[in-house]
Amino acid sequence: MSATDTVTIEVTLNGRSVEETLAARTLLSEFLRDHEHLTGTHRGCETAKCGACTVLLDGDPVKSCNMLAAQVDGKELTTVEGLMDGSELHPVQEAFWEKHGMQCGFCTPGFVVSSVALLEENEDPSIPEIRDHLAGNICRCTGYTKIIDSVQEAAKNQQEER
Amino acid sequence: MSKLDPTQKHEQEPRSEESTEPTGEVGKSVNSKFGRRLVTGTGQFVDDINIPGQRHARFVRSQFAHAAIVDIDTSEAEAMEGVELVWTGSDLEPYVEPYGLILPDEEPLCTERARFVGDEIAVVVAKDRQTATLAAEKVDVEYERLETVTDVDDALDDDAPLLHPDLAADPDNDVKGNIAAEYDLEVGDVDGAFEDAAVVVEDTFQTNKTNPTPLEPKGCVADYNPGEQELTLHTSNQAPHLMKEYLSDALTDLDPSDIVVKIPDIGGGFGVKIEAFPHEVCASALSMALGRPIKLVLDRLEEMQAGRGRHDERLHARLALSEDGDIVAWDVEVLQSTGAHASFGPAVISSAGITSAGPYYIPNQHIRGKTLYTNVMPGSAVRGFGDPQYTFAREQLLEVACDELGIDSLEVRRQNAPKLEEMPMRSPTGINWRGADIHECFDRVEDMINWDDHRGVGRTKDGKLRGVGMGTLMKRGGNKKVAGTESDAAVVQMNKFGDITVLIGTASIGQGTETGIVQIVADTLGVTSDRVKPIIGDSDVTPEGFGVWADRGTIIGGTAAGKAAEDLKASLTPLAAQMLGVSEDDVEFADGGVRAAGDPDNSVAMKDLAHEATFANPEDRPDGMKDGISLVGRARFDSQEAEVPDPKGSLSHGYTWGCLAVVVDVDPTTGEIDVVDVAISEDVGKAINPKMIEGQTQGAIAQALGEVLLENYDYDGSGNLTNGSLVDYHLPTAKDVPHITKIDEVETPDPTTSHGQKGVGECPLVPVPAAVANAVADATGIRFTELPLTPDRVLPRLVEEGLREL
Repeated sequence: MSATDTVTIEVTLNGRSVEETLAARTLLSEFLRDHEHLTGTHRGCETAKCGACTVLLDGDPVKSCNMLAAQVDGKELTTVEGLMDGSELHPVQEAFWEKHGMQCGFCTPGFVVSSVALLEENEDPSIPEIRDHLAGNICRCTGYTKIIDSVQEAAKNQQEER
Repeated sequence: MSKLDPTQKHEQEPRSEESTEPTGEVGKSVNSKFGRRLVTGTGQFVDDINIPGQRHARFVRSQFAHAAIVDIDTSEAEAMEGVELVWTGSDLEPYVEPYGLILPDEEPLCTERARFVGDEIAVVVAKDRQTATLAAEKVDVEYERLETVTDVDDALDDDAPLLHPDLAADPDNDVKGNIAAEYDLEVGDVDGAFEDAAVVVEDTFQTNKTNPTPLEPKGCVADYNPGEQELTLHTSNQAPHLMKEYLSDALTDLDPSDIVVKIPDIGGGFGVKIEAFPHEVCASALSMALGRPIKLVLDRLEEMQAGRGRHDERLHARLALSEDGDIVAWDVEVLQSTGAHASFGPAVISSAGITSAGPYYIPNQHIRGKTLYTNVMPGSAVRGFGDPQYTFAREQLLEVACDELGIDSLEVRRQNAPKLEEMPMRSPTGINWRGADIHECFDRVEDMINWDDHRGVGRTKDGKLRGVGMGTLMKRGGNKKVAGTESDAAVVQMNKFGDITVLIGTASIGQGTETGIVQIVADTLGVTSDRVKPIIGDSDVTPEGFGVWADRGTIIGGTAAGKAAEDLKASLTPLAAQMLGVSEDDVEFADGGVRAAGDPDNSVAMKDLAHEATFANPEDRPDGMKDGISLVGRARFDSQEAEVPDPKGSLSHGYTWGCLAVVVDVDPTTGEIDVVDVAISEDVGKAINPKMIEGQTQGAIAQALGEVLLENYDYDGSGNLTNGSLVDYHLPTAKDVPHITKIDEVETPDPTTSHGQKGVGECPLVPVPAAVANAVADATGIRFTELPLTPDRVLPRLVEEGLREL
């Protein structure tokens, strides 16, 4: 692959169809931030360690700094910006705000996206299950207690809605 | 000696009754003012800023810890498509001058030698970040390696190579060899007290070099306007107004008045985003030279190598107690590895030195320290600012001394800590102590952690060695600068619709300072917090202030904002009195407007008051208001006692007292330490926002647990960093820290602040290393004096003591 190779991808991004031709080496995080201006996907380490760049790929959480955009051709992507329903916050976003599961907010999109995926799989996770699921995301501000509180609050609210 | 201090003339308000529902906005757990944009990913961090015409810059960094730079060949990089230029130190030289917070020992690009692995040697400017990164790899640096100074012993060696020979040879400063600065504070008769003491304990403690690792790497976009001859710097920084001064110190042709600093959302600070760093100086100079915006955002590897962190210190400390448990003398000598620059290093020794006796009244103290240049990443300000290091030594020696005397260490702590009734008072080192009740904190923590259930008990059911330990804090809040008082100004204004904004020169690094300030303004004006919008972080728009560090935001900034709100209130009161038909004394600001005292039905909504003040016939207004009502309140709040300690004196505006205890389980098969419970009580004066105080407390404790149990910069003998990525440098994850819920706030108001508030954010970190080490000693009988307490250090000691089990 040379630096000038390009690739054309078609993805469903936050519910909308996108077709774009990119340098083949473009990372998924670069595609989202630099091409689609979805800057809620953050770059904290660029080594797939901190999780600030987590997005949903066909519903599964992946670290977008560690994948090429070319790998998502034909798939469905959801970023933190795609979680709102109109002006309504997603229950997980609402809970992170209400329970103070974020401080500086830099890791928050990654935690929110990971938590959404967890609650899709497990509507009433225990604290150890939440800890296990979120161990791939790093937060330096909260000490995690209020993040876990937020996930539990979101689970409770989602169950009540169902 | 009388401890009473007649120079402090404050009426101490009593502590309010517990668990009353707050009637105003102060005391409520209001949600973060910026939370909605942060949970939706719609905030704007520095890497999200792109200005048309910008170019991207990346550094070339030193491969060696100490090396003369013989030659730099930039030709291959410059020939690459999309590369605009490559600059070395000599290209940059016309734009910059040596700078540094305390000593002028920094240059944004090395000119003659590199002093640590990761030191900035050249900078590449290209059309995009990727091209700049690739080009930086093509810059060919020819080095001549020099002998390396990696620790404090190397630095003090008679034959040690000097990191800054020019400074050492310059008679205009006090740099001697590799000693950047020395500190010496002595009060009382230290030698006599040690001679007469019943017990003297001493040991050497080694703390670790760590990185607080705000998750957002530092970065900036510098945008020089050659027509206006003005530089606008968008940067991830904690102190917008101070940055103007710091940057102009480094840039030859710019005065502070030529610089505008704009702070976007910041992904954590923890102290390492205060100074002007090479990326900010270089991007600014490049923007001036090229007439284009320059974006320079660091990556994580750069942050690990060169991003700044906590100083590792070696403390040789002695503590003396009388037979009946009075702490009579404290003597400590600090050898601090500051890395390649002095930066905040001397202040980390001295600021924390003045308070190094913690919450104890120790009449005889001798604190000495040396800040030593070494070929490692420079240290900087980090949450706790020297206190965790002193506390690690002091609180462990206290336990050892109590063991020797056969007396209870909790009782000795109580016996030596001043009581609220004794305040205001002066500490032996000159600190103004007022309005603090650590005795209440001791009682509550002892109770919350179930101290007696764990102390000296032995083992858990699953065979772990269990122990409980304590640490204390008496933390500075609102440090003075090197010269003079420190202050914040604030403007609180209302528009014709009754919308209120508060303008203040702070930054938001996540602690919630802006939300607390909004609550203070809302509380004062009798409206809810959703009616008040904070405007922060822009040095052109906000009034002067020092930013967020040293736990100052809510103390100094909050008080200024409260005073500004009072000023606005005073300007509206005559009109309100007229509308309500009552005297000015009977006007209350409450329930979203004004009302007559004692008659809540006689009220005017804020929007109607604003309308009357702006649209109604001026002739109908009270005298003195007919030509307009400003609807702007303003104020400035200065910290007390402008004199900088020399060396005695009160460094800070106020002090937060408290204590923390942890329960640990030590696994005798692996040497792993599991912190299973934590309890903390602090006298915060007034909890402006209990939810945010909890968040700060949980975060500080978790951050400290990472430093105690996991983190350590590992340099080899040549000064190479062997764990410079998040893959190798382990930060705590959700699986590594306990659920922290035993958080208690004592509220003895500080009589000098708007609502009695004191500092919070840094405090809970301070006692954690000491408390964990004390708990491990309780569990195992082994005293660990070196951080971190990783299994590779713990297990061999368990083997030695016959506690290892297979």
